[in-house]
Amino acid sequence: MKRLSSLFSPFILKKRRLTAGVWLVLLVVLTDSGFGLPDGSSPAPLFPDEIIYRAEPLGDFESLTIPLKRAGRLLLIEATVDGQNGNFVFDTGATGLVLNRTYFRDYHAMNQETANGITGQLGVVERVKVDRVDIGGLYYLRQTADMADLGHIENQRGAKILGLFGFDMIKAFEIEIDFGNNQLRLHRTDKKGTRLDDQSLRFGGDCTLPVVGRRDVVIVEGEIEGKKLQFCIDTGAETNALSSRADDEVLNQVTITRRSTLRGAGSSRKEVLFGSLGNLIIGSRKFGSLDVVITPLNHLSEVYGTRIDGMLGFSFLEHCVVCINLKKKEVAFKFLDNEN
Amino acid sequence: MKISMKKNILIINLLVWVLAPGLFAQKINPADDPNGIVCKVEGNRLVFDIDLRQTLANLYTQASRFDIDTAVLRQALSGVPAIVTADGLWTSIRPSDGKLILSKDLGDDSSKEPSIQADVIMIDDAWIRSLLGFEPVSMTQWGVNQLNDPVAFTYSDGLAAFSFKGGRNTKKVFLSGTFNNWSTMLTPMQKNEKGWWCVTLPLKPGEYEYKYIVDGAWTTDPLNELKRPNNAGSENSVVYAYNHTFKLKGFTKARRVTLAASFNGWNPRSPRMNKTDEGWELDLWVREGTHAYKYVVDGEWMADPGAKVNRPDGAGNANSFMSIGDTLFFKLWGFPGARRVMVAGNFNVWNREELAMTKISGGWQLPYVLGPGMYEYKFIVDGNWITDPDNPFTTGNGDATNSILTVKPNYVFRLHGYEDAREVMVSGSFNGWSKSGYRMVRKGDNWIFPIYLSRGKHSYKFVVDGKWILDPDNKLWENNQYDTGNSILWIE
Repeated sequence: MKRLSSLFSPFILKKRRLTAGVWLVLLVVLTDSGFGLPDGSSPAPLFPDEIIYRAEPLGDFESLTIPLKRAGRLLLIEATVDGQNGNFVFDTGATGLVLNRTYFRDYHAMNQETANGITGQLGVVERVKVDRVDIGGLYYLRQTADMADLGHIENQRGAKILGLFGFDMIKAFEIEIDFGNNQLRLHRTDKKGTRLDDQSLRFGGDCTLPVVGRRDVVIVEGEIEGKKLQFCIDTGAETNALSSRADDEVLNQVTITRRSTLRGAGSSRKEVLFGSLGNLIIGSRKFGSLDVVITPLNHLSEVYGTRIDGMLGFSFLEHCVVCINLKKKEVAFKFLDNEN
Repeated sequence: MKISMKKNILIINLLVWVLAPGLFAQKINPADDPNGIVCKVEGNRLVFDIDLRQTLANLYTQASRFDIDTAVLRQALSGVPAIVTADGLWTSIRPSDGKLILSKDLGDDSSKEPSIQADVIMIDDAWIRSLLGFEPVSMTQWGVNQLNDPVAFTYSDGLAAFSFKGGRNTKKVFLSGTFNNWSTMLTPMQKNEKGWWCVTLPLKPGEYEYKYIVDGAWTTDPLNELKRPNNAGSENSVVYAYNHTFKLKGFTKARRVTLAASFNGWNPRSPRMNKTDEGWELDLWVREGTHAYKYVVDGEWMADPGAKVNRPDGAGNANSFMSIGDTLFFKLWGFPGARRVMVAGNFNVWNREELAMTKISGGWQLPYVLGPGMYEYKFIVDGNWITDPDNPFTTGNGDATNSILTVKPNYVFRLHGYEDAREVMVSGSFNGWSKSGYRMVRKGDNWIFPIYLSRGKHSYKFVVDGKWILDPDNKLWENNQYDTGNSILWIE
């Protein structure tokens, strides 16, 4: 009997990829021509432009609306990567571009080495380069990407997934995420973070919160029972999550309805508690009841270098339009309904 | 494997019960439940507050909802204070009569494989079905368009033309639908001199859902009344590319003529036929296969005077028959002395009395129309079930072997070489990874198996003389739980 293990795992919670911000790859070129270096001297280190990689969004627009698709509660963005067209999971919790190994096995890793995460955490990163990524009017040239096995997402949601489209790819823009209309709206901004297009079209939010911590992910502060908590805004999460290390007063606000023990690959196990969270305050809004899982998140905190108490996923984001402006270090929310 | 499967079924059942729609909106306080187990997290410990004043059966039902091991519960009930399991150390205390507190350390994130880079959090299928309100997809059998303007969609000679009237400031329009796998990029529309955005694409007859993407915004077709809810909380437009015209000559003085057929549940009210100069007509799409029908003229039921096939309806009248698709011939050579030869298969629920074959020169024959798909069948010669001796494609073993018929296969599995192999099977997600899978047939230098697969992802392996191998000619594969990989393919 051959089966994919993911068929049997009722809940999948996988870790975030490690990131060390911008990578500088030190390439040491030793000339073997007639101009060899004299014995004893060190070779000159070079930093050619083409090996300093970062996502640079290109395209002739000031504002762009990208239609999103849904697979379950995941949001998909269609993109063409070196001629191969397909869907990527729009995941603000991931950093850059991640490719599903199934469809990109031919790509040779530029390096496959142990990377030092910001906290000394180790992880193997297999990083490749793609020539061109196209998303409607937006495109990227010589983009780096990480490889991962994403077959479990395909198998659970029945959609072909070429990869993950992470936050790094669009963080230069002011980003409006509109779950209700299945749209992602991107606006170019000046150095101060002001939109270049018509000022009258500025985002009118109900409240604006500062972005906490590092810039690779979007973390905002929320409150439960008077306790300040740090939440990561994660479009790649189908439900909200709360750390099992949160204070008892916070966890008491969750009515736990179900528990399951997940057996992941190898010997790993994870307790997942499902429930309903009451009394979450984000900005000006108090939420009466949101679905949530309680699970250990300490590993995420280590990877992000910032304490993460929870994640705001689909079941939060469907209640609002979110506007993220990293130059202003702000997140604005426009709440869609007056319930809760 | 068996154990985990059982467990899976159990969890799914519980999910359906626990996660009935609207649960999250309700305020359930388990503490008020006299049969309750209250689950809490305190000081990074998982704590179950168990009320013992309940029947054991109730208690176990509640415990399974929280995935509490029955062995742990039994030991705790019998007074064991510390219980070691693979999950960790459970402690049980009885603070008062009728109360048991079972707890254990929650621990930290134990999945420390650094190579896992995906961070996508997914909730399980049963839960998401309850949240999204998924309904099992009902197979549409037929359809008639409901366009407010016939210009919005036309179909002829296999070409479908979609037209959308954009606004004055519309800059870009894309067409996205089931025909292009809901691509948001692959089907741009062109603006004509009248301000309409148009695109023409080849389509087979069938039912299609679609939307326009107008400057990035998903938009249903404003000129199409036919819409269907989608799982993104909105609606899609629905259109049919026709494959049949029903015609009734004469009756020009009738006020109303409708079509009642096996595919619309013999509904005499709808669809209505349209009056022409010579009689009545109706264009529609109907699923491939054989269908019975009648016309209803001002309330009077009648067979189609122009039908090629009319058969008794069992009530002393006749039904007309039409079929869409190619006629197949089941043939069995020989057996000249047989009295009765029948065909039975999964296409007629293995009914052994229904489909009698006719004696022809040299054997027996039955013409039949089947839509695209995979079918299992056998012949019944004077009561003896036999596989089709002229069809090399079979599934199963021994007496449980059936012949396999693939109508309009959309994929052919091909394994090159292995000329000395005794038996090559293909097994995968489409046949439940059955070991006695589908038996491949040697043809030229290859082992082949034609198949009809549903849309979506399929994983598979070849089994060469009992050994499972990846498809060497398919570069798409993904890892599985045994680290041996599965080949994968997508049917779109």
